[in-house]
Amino acid sequence: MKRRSVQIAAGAALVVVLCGLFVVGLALSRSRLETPGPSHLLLDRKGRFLGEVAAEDATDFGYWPLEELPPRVVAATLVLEDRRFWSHPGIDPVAMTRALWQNLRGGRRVSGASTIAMQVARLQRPGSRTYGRKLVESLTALFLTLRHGRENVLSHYLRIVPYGNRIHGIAYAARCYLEKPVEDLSWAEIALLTAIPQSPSRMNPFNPEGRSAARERGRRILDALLDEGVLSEEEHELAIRQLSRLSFPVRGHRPEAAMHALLRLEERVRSDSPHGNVNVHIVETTLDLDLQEEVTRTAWSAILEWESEGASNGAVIVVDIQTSEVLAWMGSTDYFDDLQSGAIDYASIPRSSGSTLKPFLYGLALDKGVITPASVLDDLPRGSAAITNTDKSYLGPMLRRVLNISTLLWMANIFSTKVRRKCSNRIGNDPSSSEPIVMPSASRNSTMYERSWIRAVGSRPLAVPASSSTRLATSPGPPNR
Amino acid sequence: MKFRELLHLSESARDDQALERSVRETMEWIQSSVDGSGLTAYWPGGRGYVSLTAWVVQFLVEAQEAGFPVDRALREALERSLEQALRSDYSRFIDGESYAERTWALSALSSLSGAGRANEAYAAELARRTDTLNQESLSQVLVALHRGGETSGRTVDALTNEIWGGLVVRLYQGREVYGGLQSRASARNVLILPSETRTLSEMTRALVRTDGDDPRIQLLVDALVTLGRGDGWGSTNANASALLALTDVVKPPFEGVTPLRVRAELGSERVTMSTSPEAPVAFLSRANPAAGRIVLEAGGASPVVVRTETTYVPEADGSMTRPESHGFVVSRAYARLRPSDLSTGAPPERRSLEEPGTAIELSVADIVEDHAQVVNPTLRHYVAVMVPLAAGMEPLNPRLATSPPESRPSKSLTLPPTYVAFLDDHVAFYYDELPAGTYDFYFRTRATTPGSFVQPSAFAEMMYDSTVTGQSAGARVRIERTEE
Repeated sequence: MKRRSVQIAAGAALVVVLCGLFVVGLALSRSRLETPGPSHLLLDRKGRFLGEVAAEDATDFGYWPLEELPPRVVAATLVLEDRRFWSHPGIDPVAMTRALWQNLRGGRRVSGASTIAMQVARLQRPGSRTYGRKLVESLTALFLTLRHGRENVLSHYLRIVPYGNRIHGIAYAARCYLEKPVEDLSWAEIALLTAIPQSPSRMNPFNPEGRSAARERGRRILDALLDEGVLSEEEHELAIRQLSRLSFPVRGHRPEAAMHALLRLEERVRSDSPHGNVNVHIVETTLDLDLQEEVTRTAWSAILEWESEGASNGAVIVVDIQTSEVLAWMGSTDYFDDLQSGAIDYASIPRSSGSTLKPFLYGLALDKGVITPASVLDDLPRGSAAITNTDKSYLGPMLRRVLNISTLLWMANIFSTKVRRKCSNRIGNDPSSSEPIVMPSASRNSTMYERSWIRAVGSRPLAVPASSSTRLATSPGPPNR
Repeated sequence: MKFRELLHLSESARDDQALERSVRETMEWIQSSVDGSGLTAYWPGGRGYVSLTAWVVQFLVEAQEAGFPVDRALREALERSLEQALRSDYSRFIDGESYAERTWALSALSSLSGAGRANEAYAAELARRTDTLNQESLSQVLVALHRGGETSGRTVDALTNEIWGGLVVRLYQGREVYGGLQSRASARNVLILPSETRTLSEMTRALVRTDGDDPRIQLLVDALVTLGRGDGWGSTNANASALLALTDVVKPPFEGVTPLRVRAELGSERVTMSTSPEAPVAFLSRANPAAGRIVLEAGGASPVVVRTETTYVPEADGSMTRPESHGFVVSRAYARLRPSDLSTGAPPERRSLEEPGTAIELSVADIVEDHAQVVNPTLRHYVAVMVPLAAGMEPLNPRLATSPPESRPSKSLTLPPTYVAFLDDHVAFYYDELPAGTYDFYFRTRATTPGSFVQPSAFAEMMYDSTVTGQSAGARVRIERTEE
């Protein structure tokens, strides 16, 4: 009997040890600082919101790393979340004892006693709140602190903590809710933002009730900061007044007029940006939203004007010819118009230039002496492989000067082909000329100009080397009055 | 606008037409000078500056308040740019002047009704940087806080004391007088146009709001008036600041002003004017007035100050203008290029235009290479060099893709300008910064219209200090019709 008892006790002890080892192993395996890649914020050339690009391994936005810990944000966070952060090893025995007492006395879960490190553990592995999970989180917190140090754990917390509206991290929350870098936050703003992670859905700053709740919580944080001696009375007084008057910018929306441009930019940003680099999460593009909207309006009115002639869609690219920067990109008149297949970016689809370039060709030919007003146009069929005129008819030999302009431009394909060949021969034989005859298609243009989409990344300009094709497409000289 | 307000002129005495024209032209210039980032540049095509954009927004606000039509879209676009510029990670500041430019942006934004609250946080943040900000910037932060509703409190008191601390007060004959500013009073970069007057003006504007009853305010006002010269405070930027500050302080009714009635007798014309504590200045403007006198009709023994200003057009035409030098030495020469010279590539023979009225004989279609030379003895900022053309000439801009080969001058400019404009009647070269040295400007023109025309002087001037100028001699261009 005694031996059996010993065996049972030993078995139980073994199970306990094995369970303990399992829990320790589990906690140890979770003691890594894990985060999705930082998202990108796309701005137009004047700093206005264009869109957000989440990292490939994330569904939400933000996760911006902090270059250094902002001291005032840290102070506000710790006064609210973990007052003894700098002295405990990741779990706070004092807070745990107090929480246990409060929970037992209240007969329900009153306090969680979660430290910053424990919250990091939970945010990395979200799940239901049970005592078992709490145990694993506590051990994970202990290992996180031992392995990475307090500063890194705190920095990581400030990077991944949720602020509602799919926003994570104080740096991104400051940018999205207050349109400023985290270093510029005032005490009132810090208090308000620090309050949000406690209950992101209840304290949503984009609705009045949420703002009110966040303000109330922020006020308590400011009082606590005063009590702790972090804030002077003068600072507290000013922050309290400002907190009550704090206003929020309107939430940024992706501009419908620039949908194609945005999609291309997203693709470009995803493929180009080095993952996790702190300086690449704000992407200032060359697009000008004002111009984009104006282009869309103009295109719409042009389409309406030509609707009776069968026009139903259009595409426009506006490029600064000095810098090759894309200022506006309209892939179709309405991205969401299924009837016209608006989701297709017609600006990037190869299309024949049609007769658009004929006036320039004739101009060049006249300029170079390839043709004169007295030249005879031999508008005759050229055999089976030859190009034909639009109406399949031929005008025969005639003088250039007796043709009206529309005939010359919209018909006379045979003649224009001949002129182009002559121009190429003439210029090709001229050593003083450096101008090849280029007949760009829409797709070639779009590819060329796309090199110059991104103006600056972070606070550094992005060097975009001009390729030979880009140079071909640009004109020399500044604008002149 | 502020000068008019300062003089408290009666409605009838205001020259609104001229003012409206000036305001309209300024707005057009602003519209054409916004760069790709949404900031205003000094010249079209130039780089935009945050500080200049802030001044522009202040001007638009003042113009709107004065009842002038203001392009709302333009104003809102500039405001948005300034809001961006409040951020510490904004990248388009003048080197070393990020705080100065941010506080200018803050000050301009705070002057907009309804915009104050959005920027209060920045005002509070910048108020914490008293050790980084100069007196001018501190004053702007204080004004922004005040406009945002912070009219009292410890932060306001601390800033007020800090600003007073920047003032050097001396005792003169038992009386406190202005003795200058502490060394860390203004921005240092000349591109931001720092001046003692502007700093003092900004300090005055701030302290009047928060500490208006302090007797030292009068000391500031006296100092501002004393710093002024006969024609202002040294630069148009300082003039504007001083006038803004003085209009904040000097407001009617003026104690001690006795109502007066004076009569102006100009030949047979009699005009009666009145002054009062509400409107202490009367104004009269006439073209070609006869000799006359001012008679005090009523007002007793009070002193009357009469100031007369005369503007006139010289009898001789512009071709006879003599060269003048007040900081710049400007000379002009030309070379006529006959078609035969162009084909042989022979160097053009230059002729100096030192004597006023020198005649330049040309035929239609002749090409002329203009050469202006400017000697600048010291480093200067915001310099314009204008080379006017005779009416029968047209400029040839070599940078146009369609320009013929003969449009390219034989020599290049000594220093590429910040902006160059080839206009119908003149060619202008603008510099944000012009180091000391001798600068040559070359461009070509073509004779297009037969006749005899005045070629006005070429001149150089500092855009913000009209006393620093220089001009060349005028000349006359005679163009003959060519034989077919």
